[in-house]
Amino acid sequence: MKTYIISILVADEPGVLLKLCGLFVRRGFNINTIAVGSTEKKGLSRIMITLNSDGKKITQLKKQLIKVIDVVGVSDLTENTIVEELCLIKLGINGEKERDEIINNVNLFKAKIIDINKTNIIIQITDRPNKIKNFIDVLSDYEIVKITRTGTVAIKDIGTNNN
Amino acid sequence: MKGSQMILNTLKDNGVNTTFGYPGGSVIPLFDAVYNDNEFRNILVRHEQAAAHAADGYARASGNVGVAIATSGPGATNLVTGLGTAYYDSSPVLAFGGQVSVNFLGKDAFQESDMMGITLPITKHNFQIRNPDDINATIRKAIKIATSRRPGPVYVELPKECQVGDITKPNPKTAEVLNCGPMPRAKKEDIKKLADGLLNTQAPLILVGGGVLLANASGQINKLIELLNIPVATTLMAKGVIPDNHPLNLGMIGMHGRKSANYAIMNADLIVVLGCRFSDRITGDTDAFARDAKIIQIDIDSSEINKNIDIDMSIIGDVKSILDDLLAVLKMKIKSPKQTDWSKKMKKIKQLCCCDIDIGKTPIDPRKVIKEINAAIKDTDIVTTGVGQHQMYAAHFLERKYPRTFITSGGFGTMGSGFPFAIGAKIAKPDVEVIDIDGDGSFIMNSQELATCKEENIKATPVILNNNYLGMVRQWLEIFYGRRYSQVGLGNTTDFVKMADAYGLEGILVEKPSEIKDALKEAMGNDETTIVNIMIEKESNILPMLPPGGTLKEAFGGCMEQAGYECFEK
Ligand SMILES: Cc1ncc(C[n+]2csc(CCOP(=O)(O)OP(=O)(O)O)c2C)c(N)n1
Ligand SMILES: [Mg+2]
Repeated sequence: MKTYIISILVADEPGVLLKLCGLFVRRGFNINTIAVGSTEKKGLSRIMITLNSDGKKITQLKKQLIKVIDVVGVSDLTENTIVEELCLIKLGINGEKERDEIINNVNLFKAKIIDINKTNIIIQITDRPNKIKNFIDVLSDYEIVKITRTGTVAIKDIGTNNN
Repeated sequence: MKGSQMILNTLKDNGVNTTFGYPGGSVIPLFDAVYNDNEFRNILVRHEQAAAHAADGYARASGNVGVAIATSGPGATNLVTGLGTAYYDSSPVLAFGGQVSVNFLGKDAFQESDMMGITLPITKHNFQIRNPDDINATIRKAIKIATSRRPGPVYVELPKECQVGDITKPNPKTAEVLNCGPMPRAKKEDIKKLADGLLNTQAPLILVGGGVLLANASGQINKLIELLNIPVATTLMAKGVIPDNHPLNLGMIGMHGRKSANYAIMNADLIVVLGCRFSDRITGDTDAFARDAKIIQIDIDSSEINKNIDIDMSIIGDVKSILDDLLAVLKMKIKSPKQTDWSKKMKKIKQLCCCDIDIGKTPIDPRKVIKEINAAIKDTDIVTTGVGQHQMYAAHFLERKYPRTFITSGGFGTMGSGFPFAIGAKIAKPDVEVIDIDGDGSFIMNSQELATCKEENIKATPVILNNNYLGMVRQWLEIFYGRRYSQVGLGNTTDFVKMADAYGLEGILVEKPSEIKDALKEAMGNDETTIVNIMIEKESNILPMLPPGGTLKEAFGGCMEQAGYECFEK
């Protein structure tokens, strides 16, 4: 098992997300993250998913995806890519010492404080998913109120051919 | 012009002037347009499921799109089984469903159902048309999607506005749609590799699936068989692509396959597979399937490669053009067909595997019925079936010569599809006789269509192999559940002759083998639909069969019952 990142370029038609999600369920794929957004091309959206699977099943998934009428292209962004995710974390603050420790960690991880008051802090981190995981691990010593993440997005690095 | 008229016009422009449909609140405007249109015929079925199956039967008989119409809510959900049936056998069906007005959508209005969600996993694609100006392009796209590449059903939802609203813009010139263009031609080196493979093996076999029928490549495949003198096995869906009586056609493989065909799969060293998706009903245990053979798979759908069976080489593309290319290469290399030991042996095995089906005993042997049907029909006539033992008897013993003359629900195995299939096929091919070989269980699932036949003057002849049982399930209970016949006895309650009479039609009861011939003759000679109800032996079994999860080697019973596969070795 390995974590794959698959990018699906789709026509911006009603129901297209439903069609893809239906396919994942039917073919037994468990999606870890999903991120949807507009692209450089008008009328096309990009859906980025990550999932744990093996090479043979991923090949099958890609072929199933390309069959969906509204799918324009499918590419595997698992290798040679820039991978980022954005995560917002709300913590409770219990005393000044704790606050200083948290701020220290925010700096260590190059995260950002979005808002803060006496009792709560909201932090934003944009990084590779495993770095975000480490950050959350470190923060788990404190009172985590809420975590929300965008799902992974990726793009081929400059050295590699486009798509 | 109103949207509803635009729907009809677009269909007519695309060669559709007959639909199978049933009205209701949300399609009243559409049928109102039909009322005025002399060039358009809707066949009023008696159940929307039958509308979908009839459209499917029309599509399978003609190769063109078949169209069904239903109202929203329960009308549309009644289409679902028919859409599933078409989807699993890749049949180009276009189904229209009404829908509540757009401003009621999502508010649980009367007869609203989320058909876009419900049809999603059993259609190739679906559309909802909100604006009348989108009708023309959307229907053109829907037909293109249904019929191109690997065909399949498309569902089009028609909220009321799009039917009653006015068209305000001219129709677009083009209606482009993704993933529907012609397939790229196969690479030359792949064709060469395939040709070399076929020429340089001792025991090559061709396995033909329904995709070859869908690609209209029957002519090509028959030429290939002649040129190479190569034995061929088929799936259920490919029956008719190669004449059943061709000396090299070993018949159907799989769970209820012929021993000759399964033997060939187990003993070939190269299998070239065309348009076949390796369903579990044909492979048996996949780990043991054709373990000794190299497999080359040719398909239009790349997702079928390595899905169920690991293969050695694949070519993606249109089977017809691939075969054309292959034939061109082979013709230069082969002067005259080679008589190999392997092809001689397979011809002999085919003969060995041919049991005497002209059995005169009473109660009637189901094989005898099929034999009499063979004698009664022409090669161009069309036979449909229900699902069960009778379907498998037909698969084994019915003699077909041409593609699209045998229509059956394979992938979905839908009981009740046979009779509406026959109605659709008759509309597509009015000049041939259409016979529905059906079971007493299956036929009842859509027997209300007798009324459609009577009213619309459609002649399709149901020949019921009546064993008073859900025979196929009974067979499983006999063999694997120690004859504990739970919920399979239908009794002799249904009098099919009286049933026909109730619809103003004739029915003929047959109890002796000697009566079959005349009954078929009479029914086929009648102008109206006539039921032939044939009482057959109640507990006959269709053999050979594989135990569930078994390998092709473990098939038991059948014509070489005692002998097993060893007899072929001599
Ligand atoms: C709609 C549907 N329901 C249930 C089944 C399961 N099933 C498969 S074959 C069969 C029995 C069919 O009986 P009949 O039509 O009388 O044919 P026979 O096997 O007796 O020839 C059943 C119940 C099915 N295939 N389709
Ligand atoms: Mg029966």
